[in-house]
Amino acid sequence: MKKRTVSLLSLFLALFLSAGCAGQSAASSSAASSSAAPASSALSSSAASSESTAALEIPEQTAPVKYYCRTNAERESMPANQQVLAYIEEQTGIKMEINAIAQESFKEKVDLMIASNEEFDGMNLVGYGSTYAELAQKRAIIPINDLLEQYGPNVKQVMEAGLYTTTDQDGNIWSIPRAEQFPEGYVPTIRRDWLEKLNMEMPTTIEELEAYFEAVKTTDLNGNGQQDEIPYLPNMLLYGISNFVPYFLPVKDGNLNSTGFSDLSNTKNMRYMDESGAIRPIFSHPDFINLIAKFREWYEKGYMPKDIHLLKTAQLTDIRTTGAAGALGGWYSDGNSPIIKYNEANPDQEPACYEPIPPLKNAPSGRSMWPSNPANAPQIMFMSTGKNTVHLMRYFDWICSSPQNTATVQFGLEGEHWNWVEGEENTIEVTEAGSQQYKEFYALANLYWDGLMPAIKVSPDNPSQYMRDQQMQTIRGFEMNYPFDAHIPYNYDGTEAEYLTADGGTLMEEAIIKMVIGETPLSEWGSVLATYNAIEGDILSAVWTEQYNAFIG
Amino acid sequence: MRESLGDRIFGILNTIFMVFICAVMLYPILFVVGRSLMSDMERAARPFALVPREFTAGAYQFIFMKGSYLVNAYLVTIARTVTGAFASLAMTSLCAYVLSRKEYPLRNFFTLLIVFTMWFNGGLIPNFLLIQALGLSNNFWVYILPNLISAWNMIIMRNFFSSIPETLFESARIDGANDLTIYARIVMPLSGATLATIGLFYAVWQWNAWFDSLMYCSSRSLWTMQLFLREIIRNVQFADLLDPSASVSYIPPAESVQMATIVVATVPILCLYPFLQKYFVKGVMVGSLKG
Repeated sequence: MKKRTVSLLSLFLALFLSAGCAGQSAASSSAASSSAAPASSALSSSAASSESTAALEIPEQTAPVKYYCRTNAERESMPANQQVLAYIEEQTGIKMEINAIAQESFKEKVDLMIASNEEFDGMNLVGYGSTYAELAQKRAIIPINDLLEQYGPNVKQVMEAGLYTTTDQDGNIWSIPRAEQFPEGYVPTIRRDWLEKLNMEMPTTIEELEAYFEAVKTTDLNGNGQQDEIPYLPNMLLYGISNFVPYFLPVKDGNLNSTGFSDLSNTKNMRYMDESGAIRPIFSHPDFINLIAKFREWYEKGYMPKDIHLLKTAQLTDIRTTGAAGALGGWYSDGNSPIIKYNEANPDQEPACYEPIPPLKNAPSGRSMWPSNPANAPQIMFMSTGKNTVHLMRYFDWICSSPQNTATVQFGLEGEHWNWVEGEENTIEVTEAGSQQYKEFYALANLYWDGLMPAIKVSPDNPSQYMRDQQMQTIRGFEMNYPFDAHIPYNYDGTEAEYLTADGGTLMEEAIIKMVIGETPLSEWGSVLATYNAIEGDILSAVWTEQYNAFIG
Repeated sequence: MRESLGDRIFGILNTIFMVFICAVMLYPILFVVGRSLMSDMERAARPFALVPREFTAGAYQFIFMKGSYLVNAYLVTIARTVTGAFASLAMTSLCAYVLSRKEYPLRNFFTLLIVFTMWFNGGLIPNFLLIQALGLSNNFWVYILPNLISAWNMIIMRNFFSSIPETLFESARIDGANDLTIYARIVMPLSGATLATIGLFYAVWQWNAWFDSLMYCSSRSLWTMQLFLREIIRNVQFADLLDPSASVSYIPPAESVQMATIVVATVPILCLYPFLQKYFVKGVMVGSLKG
């Protein structure tokens, strides 16, 4: 009896399992067929827009335009968001629904929505961690050539110069590009007031910079009787190293892609072109060891804190708040907020400020430059499941139709959050209340295109804004290294690099840090690099070179 | 009986050891609270201090400046904790009661089926598809229905119910009680400690949960407080890096905000614990064998 019961129970269990698995296979095969891509080409030119290419007729909006972006510096929870949205909807006649997904899980959530064929119209590629090629291969996005032609004449006119970054080798435009206000921010900065105290000029060579470091280390500049000044305090050790990559690494035709990096969890964005025309990871460069050696030297001489490799952002901010750092590395404005607080706490002292260091001359690479983000990059994707993509394009077209509209989506309501400055063309002044009420949530993209985004009048009464503006004006005169292949949509799906883990990055990060702090001798770099190339470097190089050459033609 | 010298020495050393353990456990809590009330300059100058010389509530002001968003998130969290805990308790106890009855013929089958889910699950994507298909996306009930019964808690309860003497049930049946009456009038009153313990487990889980909010709710009006606070911390850490163009007049102190969010998130549960302490201590052994 018991045996029969057990047998019956086992049979039921097996039946349930097979039913579940059969359902799952059906779902998997339908998902697989919807994501399968032609093996020969990652981007199919036959993926056509579902919108009519006939006469310009505006289809009825069936539901609010559904758009997804990641959360970003509280933009999504500003008090005036609903008020601004109501105004925009009234002006455009387009209903919008902008959803902000928590940053860390943005890619995961979007992938889930794509896998489940959820209907939404657009998404922001920033924070997704991949190129448009991957989404195109999954058939998750549509080319927007027709949409631009019919419903986006202003978009096309304004963004003409940047569309090449979102266009594949077949001429399909896959995204609306972004124009950052200030991509050239990976510049180290120096205490101007300390330079003056030391009777030193702004360093123009690395030797002059080192002389400054030495002077800071041996002089009681903050007058507290202690030798607690820190000559150089990068925002994370690797961030500081990243500033000097263009300085140390000579590359063919200036073909270097290396922006700032605070960790090496994603080593797929750092590469250069060698003399043979192959694209290689920057660690493979024969001169990369010189960069590490220089930081090792600075560390040994005490120019950086002994625990620099352990300090977190919050701790670094606290140190900067004490006014102890002579020079900073990383993003140009990293030190502004802490030094403003230091000035407020020490009103009797001369105000401290950090000034950008010009690119150092006599670079071993032959190129005196700091790194920069690309000026333009893909940002707004139009989804294949969207039912109102026409209206999403119309919305952008409305934004691009006038600086007034751009200022509205960027800064809020005229008269309440910002005002035109009389006597100055295309210049606005953001009110104090405005900056705390609304912050560009309905802009959807970075819109700093020439002639479109109004200039912001900077007030010296706003120290943060004023300091930033002064720094930006200084940096605008610098030579910067823009990524040479930012417009190439590298896609690792279906390649040998698809299943690479973060092991290569971890290996290099550990090796670089240990060599800088002296735990590992520099002589071991060769063996570390050989291991890295075997597990990741050579694989990435092969994929990059092939796809680069295929794109360039 | 008089304590020997050895016993007394042991008692003293034991007390010292326990005080040390308490201090080790208390220090991080005091550290977090203290630093959430410190100014930036003091925090930088006194990295290990517990008590601020100058109290400042800037971090709390920043958090509560969110106004209606934070209040809404708090309400969502409280609602899901209360509703989820009670609903889960009701369903779990009902399931556990049925499976504790030896006379139920499919008892073993369903127990195996439920235990199976502890070893295997479908994964994130099938789960997401299921939630979508059930119409629970962007719906408050996504916090309650999928998590109604925890297999582990159900087994603990089932074991406890199995230990209730059978004679109680027999005498109740003789008096004309049916299963529902036995469940409500006999089993539930006897299970106070168990219900309190399991209820606390569910309540704490509901209070701390954020992943389901992240995955299934796009609308910020349904975000829980944990997710909302998590985003505040993350946004604050990168406020400078991500916002090079904005005319931000106030950059909050990142570490203070982190500490303040920890306080805001944990204080309510810390306040609840003392009231359920005795049940918790009793209930730890609730699933074990009884003599």
